[in-house]
Amino acid sequence: MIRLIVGRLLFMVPAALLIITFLFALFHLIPGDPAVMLAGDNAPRSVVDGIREAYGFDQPLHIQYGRYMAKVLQGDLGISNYTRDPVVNSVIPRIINTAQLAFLSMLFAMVVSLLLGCVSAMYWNRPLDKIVTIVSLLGICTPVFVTGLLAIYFFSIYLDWLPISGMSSWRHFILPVITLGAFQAAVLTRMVRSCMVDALGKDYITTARAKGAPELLVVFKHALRNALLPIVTLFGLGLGHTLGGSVVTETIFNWPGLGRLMVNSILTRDLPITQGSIFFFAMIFILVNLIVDLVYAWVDPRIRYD
Amino acid sequence: MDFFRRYKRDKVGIVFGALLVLLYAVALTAHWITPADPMAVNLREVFSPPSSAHWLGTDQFGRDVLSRVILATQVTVRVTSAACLFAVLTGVPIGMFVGYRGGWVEAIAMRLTDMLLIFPIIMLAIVIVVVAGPTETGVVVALGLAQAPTFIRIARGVTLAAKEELYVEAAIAAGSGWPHILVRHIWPNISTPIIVQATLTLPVFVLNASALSYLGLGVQPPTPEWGQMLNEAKDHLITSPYLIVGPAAALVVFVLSANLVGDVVQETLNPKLKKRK
Amino acid sequence: MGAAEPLIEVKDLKVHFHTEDGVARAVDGVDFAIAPERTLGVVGESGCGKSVTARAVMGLIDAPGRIVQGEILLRRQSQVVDISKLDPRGREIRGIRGNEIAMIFQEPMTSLNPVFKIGDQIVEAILLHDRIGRREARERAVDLLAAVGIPLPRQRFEQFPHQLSGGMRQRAMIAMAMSCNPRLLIADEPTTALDVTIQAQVMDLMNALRRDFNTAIMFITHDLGVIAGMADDVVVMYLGRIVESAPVREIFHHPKHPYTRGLMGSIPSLADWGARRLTAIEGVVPSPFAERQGCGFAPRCPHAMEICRTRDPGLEDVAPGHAAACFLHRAAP
Ligand SMILES: Nc1ncnc2c1ncn2[C@@H]1O[C@H](COP(=O)(O)OP(=O)(O)O)[C@@H](O)[C@H]1O
Ligand code: SF4
Ligand SMILES: [Mg+2]
Repeated sequence: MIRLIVGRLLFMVPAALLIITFLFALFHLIPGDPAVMLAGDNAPRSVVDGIREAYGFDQPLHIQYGRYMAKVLQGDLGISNYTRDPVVNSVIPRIINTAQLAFLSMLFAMVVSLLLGCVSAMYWNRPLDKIVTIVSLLGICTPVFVTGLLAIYFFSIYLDWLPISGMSSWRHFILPVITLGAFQAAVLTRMVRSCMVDALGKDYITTARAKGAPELLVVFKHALRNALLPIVTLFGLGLGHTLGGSVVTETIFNWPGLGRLMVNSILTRDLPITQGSIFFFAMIFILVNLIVDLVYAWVDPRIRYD
Repeated sequence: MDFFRRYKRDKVGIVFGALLVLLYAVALTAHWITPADPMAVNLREVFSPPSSAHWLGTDQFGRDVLSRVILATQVTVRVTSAACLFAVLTGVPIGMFVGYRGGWVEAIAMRLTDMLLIFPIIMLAIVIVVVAGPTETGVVVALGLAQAPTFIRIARGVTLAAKEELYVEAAIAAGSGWPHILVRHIWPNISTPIIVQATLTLPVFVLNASALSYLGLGVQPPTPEWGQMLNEAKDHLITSPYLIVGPAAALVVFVLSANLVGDVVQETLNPKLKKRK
Repeated sequence: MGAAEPLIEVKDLKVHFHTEDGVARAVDGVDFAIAPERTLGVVGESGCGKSVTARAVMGLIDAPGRIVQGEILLRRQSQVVDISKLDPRGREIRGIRGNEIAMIFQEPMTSLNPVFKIGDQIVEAILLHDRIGRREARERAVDLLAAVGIPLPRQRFEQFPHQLSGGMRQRAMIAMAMSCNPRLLIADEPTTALDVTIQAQVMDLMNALRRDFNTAIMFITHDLGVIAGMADDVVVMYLGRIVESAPVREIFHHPKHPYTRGLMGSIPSLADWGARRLTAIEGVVPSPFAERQGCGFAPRCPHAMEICRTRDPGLEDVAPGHAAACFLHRAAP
């Protein structure tokens, strides 16, 4: 177990280096003069030349690469073209906002999908199961921005119950969390159901029934505890997808998160911010993946006790 | 042909298969069947609600929404087909090659692929759009590359399995070169799983293409696209909520049909899956 | 059969599976009875409906299967329950399962829940039926583990199934089954999945339990050889029906039905145990989907006659306590 943790943590190092390399490559992959990109489209020549020198864009590539790597490793991701603030300063608070949104949405999705998935599997092929299946199918076919628009229209405009955008009170959380969470819930319900149907077909379930265990115990203890192994992985992937979906959700609800920052920076060609948000998103994904692996190992006694 | 005979047994498959075919037909004939010019600006007729003249109303430039939804169907079909093709054409050869080659090349390639697979498609696509630019080609490249790892995995898996087959081993022993073996002996095994995967990922392509345009990183105005139309409609949600009806419904119906058809295709080719459901 | 009132009595049981491909008549009219403390051997090739019969007795038939006919009578001191009429998820059948009737299965590798400790799984079985404390249940579980010959029971209690060998797991399953002192133990091919040497050990254990616990046993196997030293009575099943039933000595010394004789011929000696197939009988078990016409064994029977293909022989006595379903043993067909 310890070896697994250490191994996984060590895996993060090459991954991070790879990502930094990619960010460096972005300067040169994007068509155009990197100095102009950093200075902004309308910057005067003198500023552009200053930046070229300061960033060493006139130097050979490997020297530039070394310098960039060194700077990123010291926590310096450059400064924004517009606010002229260090990228790190504008990114960090955004991460917290995105984390809140993603975490709450995922919580919502996990609770809903576990409940619906288990109930559906328990009533396999009966009317209740069919209803859940159809609803979750509709859910995975409705993109977040459609749900979001419908939710805004119905709850904010038509009923005037909830605010449309921003995140200044708990009421602001409701629509974004449900919009983002509902899609994930639909995806996960289908998967939880199929994991549970699988688990309920196993021999040890017959053994549990043969003991005289009541059906609720069979489903929620014997089957669920086993289905939890694949479900944990699914939830981990789900968390990743929730983070991905947060980009769109944040744009719909004007949520001041990392996703909207990234999209805006791309639209306004603020490359340092784009790089910074990509970097942090990537690190978050790798971290989430790591945590999922560890939780998985912890849930599975075959790994935990060997 | 056996495939179609068995596919036909599934009612859901027939209904939504027909719907999907209809959507593709609409896409192919879009230029002839739009009731009005989807691009024609008419500033005297902005924001007119649905009527017999404009079934889905008109937008902020007085353009006929129904016509734009129809043209957007074509755009979506074009973009997603191209992206899917791109993903197959990049992913499959790489997967086949590394699977065949084995050794450290395979180890490294699969490590990288696994790493890419932990990122959501939309994130990969956005990053690629940063490089490729927010244009139709950019979206095709972005979605294609973002999905390529899936196809790499599958192509590699099938290649590994095929390599164990006697006739392939015999061909290798007989000294056939690797291009010959890959094309003649391994490719025939790959086509079915690739087609299944492609149908299964079609809805993913559609969802992500429209998400990119919703974010403004995809197909650019004035070319209509469902996601982008919804983004514009959002600004007028209070005054003209009917603007979201057309693009939202088209998008959901397309994704729903694609999803169900994908499921049925997979079950038809692999009947064991059905028992599970 | 023994003179005592039977503990369990199965009458004309039919269990059908309604599947997409048609109706599988897995069990198609089966009668037998087991007296207290007796062991009934149930023999037949794979697919002939042994497991489905056993599950029916446990009330464990689930969709798409259904008990379409018959009775399964469990006799208690003062009353008789018909298990076939109980709700398979209801409270009453749950009070019987694991308590009055317990079952062990063919696959020790998959029959224990991989994510719970061995001991806890036995404790659960105890606590489901007996109102005793956890501590006491743990002690009983450890004693049971010792009783089924598991060394270091206290350590084993804390282990997970994957840490035990197949033989040890089957012993743990037996411990779990015996945990509430069942009146009937159903053993569905308990040794089939095990190595030869382990098989012998588990058989010895079952024999010892039979003596020590005075439990009636329904012992299912596809292997007549296994039953010789174990059963009091034997029923031979083919295609969802009983084709011969007799006390064990009678079956071995005077087998009547050609199918039983075929099985005799295919008792594997230890040397070719690995094959395990009943190769002496030509052909394979026909599909249970097919409509039955005449004797079910006719297509494979070396003695098949004209009448066999048109009329159903039916199970009839050929000697006192010995019945066979075959026209060869009728006075005047
Ligand atoms: N869950 C099921 N669905 C459909 N058919 C089944 C199912 N379980 C058993 N059967 C049918 O019942 C027949 C008898 O099975 P079984 O009792 O397991 O045989 P065995 O004698 O090997 O234990 C099988 O041939 C199969 O056709
Ligand atoms: S009834 Fe006829 S076919 Fe059936 S077992 Fe007897 S002899 Fe063979
Ligand atoms: Mg069986």
